[in-house]
Amino acid sequence: MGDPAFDVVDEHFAGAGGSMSLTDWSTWATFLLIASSLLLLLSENWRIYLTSLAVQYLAVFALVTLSWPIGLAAVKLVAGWMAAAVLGASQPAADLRYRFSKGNAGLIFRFLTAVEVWLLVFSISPKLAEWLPVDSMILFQGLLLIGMGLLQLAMSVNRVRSIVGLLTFFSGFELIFAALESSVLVAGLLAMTQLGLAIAGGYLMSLPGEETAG
Amino acid sequence: MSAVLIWVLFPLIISIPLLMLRQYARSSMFAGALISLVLALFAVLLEMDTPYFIRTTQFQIRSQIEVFGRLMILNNADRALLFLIYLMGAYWLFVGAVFDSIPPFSGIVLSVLALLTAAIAVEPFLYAALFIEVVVLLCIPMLIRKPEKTGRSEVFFLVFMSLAVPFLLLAAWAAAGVEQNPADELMSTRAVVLLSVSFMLLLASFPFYVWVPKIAEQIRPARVFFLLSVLPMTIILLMLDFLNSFGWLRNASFMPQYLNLLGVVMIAMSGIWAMFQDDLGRLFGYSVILENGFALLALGVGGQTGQTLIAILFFVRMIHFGLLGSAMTMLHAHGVETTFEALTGKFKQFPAISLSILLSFFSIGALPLLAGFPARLAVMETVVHGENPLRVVWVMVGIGGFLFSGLRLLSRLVAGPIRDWKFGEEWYELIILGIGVIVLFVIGSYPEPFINGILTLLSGFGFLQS
Repeated sequence: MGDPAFDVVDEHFAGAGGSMSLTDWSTWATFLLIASSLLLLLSENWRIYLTSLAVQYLAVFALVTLSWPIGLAAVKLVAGWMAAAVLGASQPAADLRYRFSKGNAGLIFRFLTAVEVWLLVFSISPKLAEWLPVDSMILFQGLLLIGMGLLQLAMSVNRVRSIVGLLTFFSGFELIFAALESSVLVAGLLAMTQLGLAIAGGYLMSLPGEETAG
Repeated sequence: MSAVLIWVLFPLIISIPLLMLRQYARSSMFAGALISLVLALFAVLLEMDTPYFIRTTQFQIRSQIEVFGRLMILNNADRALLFLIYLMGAYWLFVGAVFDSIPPFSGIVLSVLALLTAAIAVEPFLYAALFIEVVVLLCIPMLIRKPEKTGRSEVFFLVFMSLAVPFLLLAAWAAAGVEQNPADELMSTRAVVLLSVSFMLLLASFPFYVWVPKIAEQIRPARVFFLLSVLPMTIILLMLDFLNSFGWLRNASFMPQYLNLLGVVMIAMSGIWAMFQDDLGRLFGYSVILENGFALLALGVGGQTGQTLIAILFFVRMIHFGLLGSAMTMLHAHGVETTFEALTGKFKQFPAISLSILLSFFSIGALPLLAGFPARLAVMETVVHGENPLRVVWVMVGIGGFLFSGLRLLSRLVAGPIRDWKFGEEWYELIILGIGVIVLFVIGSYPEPFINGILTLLSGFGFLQS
């Protein structure tokens, strides 16, 4: 990585008896992010959908520990899982079917769009690294989530997908912002925002006579 | 005692029992209106950091307080704003209580006002973004739809407003970086770009305006008028605060041109789209964008002149939106839809409501003798004239669009044979609308005493000290 922060945390993990280096840690988390955000885009199964959201928060937590102390980073995990729980509790089985891009053709289309977003993020993250003094890997991971969040927002008219898209967008932003600012108050308020978004999503999902499929 | 306790903590605490009084929606809204009015009056009567005596006991309202290590400051310069936003809260709660008393409104309105005040008070600016997000989240349950409307306007509102928050946080971080190292040009570019995107999202500027007409069409009038009156005004004042906080940004040569261009685009675009609308709600949505465009033009002027123009625009906006919102809420209470089709021939049935709606749109379209005219003229003379003649044309296109849509509405309202006239309005509706129409004409016909009055009021508050 070449970042002194990574070396420090690498030593910490090595000292704790961990066999995984920080670079591996970050790479695995990136794969988790890609897989979970892809599942959030493709899946039409409510349980898989919520599990992917929970896994995404786990990966975000793992990556935030590179910038913040574990105790503070845990706020992201707890708030994220609570958000997923709020969404899960508000609807036993939300309708996640896509209205416009159905079947295998729709699935392939959405997958290819996600690949496009990855390529876009991959190509613009070095340029953006000149703008934001953040480790290039963290920037890539954050932008990946931001891109996938925006894609989820754009691909569906479904309320749940819009809220989860927004949560994914926020997760990406928080990943980048955590590397810039380590204020406890900001962390707390952002966690509150995330929970608030989930509660608002739960409320919107529960509105009577609403068409949710989209 | 601290000002933050009075204008932030107190309404927040009061909002909790008001939220619980769901069975007594009307009473809770009257109570909320009264509390909001008292807080607005306190803003006029009480000066910060000045000793007051009650018999032998001395007390003082301190302008700043420390919360979790962060400063919250409400000084005398903020009293005008406190007065404005709490007065608007009181007015819309009153209108809601009389014509549209469905919970939850009262508690949410008070907490929204308190949190917007907190957003303005908090230092550093970074935290304002998070307060705005909490306000947006709080507004969601308040946005109850009209029975005949379906759609996703609340989701659009939530998404667009929430997307602004990360940009605002990053902008505040970059701006703080420039303060530490003013020579860092890259950092200042970052700050400006991020700030521009965030305020474009928050002010529903082109191309992020799609949610405004949607929400204005689908949500019950009293609620949407409260939201779209208070929120953009507070955001513009936050923008002003941000510009004032960072000297390098205020003095940047590109800033006036940028704000001027953005304002002209918003005005022209809203006017052009307004011509094709067939719903009063959507027309109102576009008029909010028009007003925001004018406010950006005024913001681009900077200094004392710019702040005076903003103050005049805010007062005029309050008046014509107040009249339009009241009339539309009454129309809704009478069970009339707001589409042009449903309004056909309604002049005979509801002449006062129809006239108020028409005059409001003509005022927004700057028809001479109405309140909007002197305000628009002042902005055009100061900002647009001389800079670029083509911009004047675009501003005229925007204003003309609203006049044209007003004429279209007139043709619909008076359609049909002229017989069987009656006043379908209640007496108290006639009084409220009558006052609104008179104010609209008085300000439009004799603007100078009104403008001088505003300047006196604001100079007393220190609002114009930049």
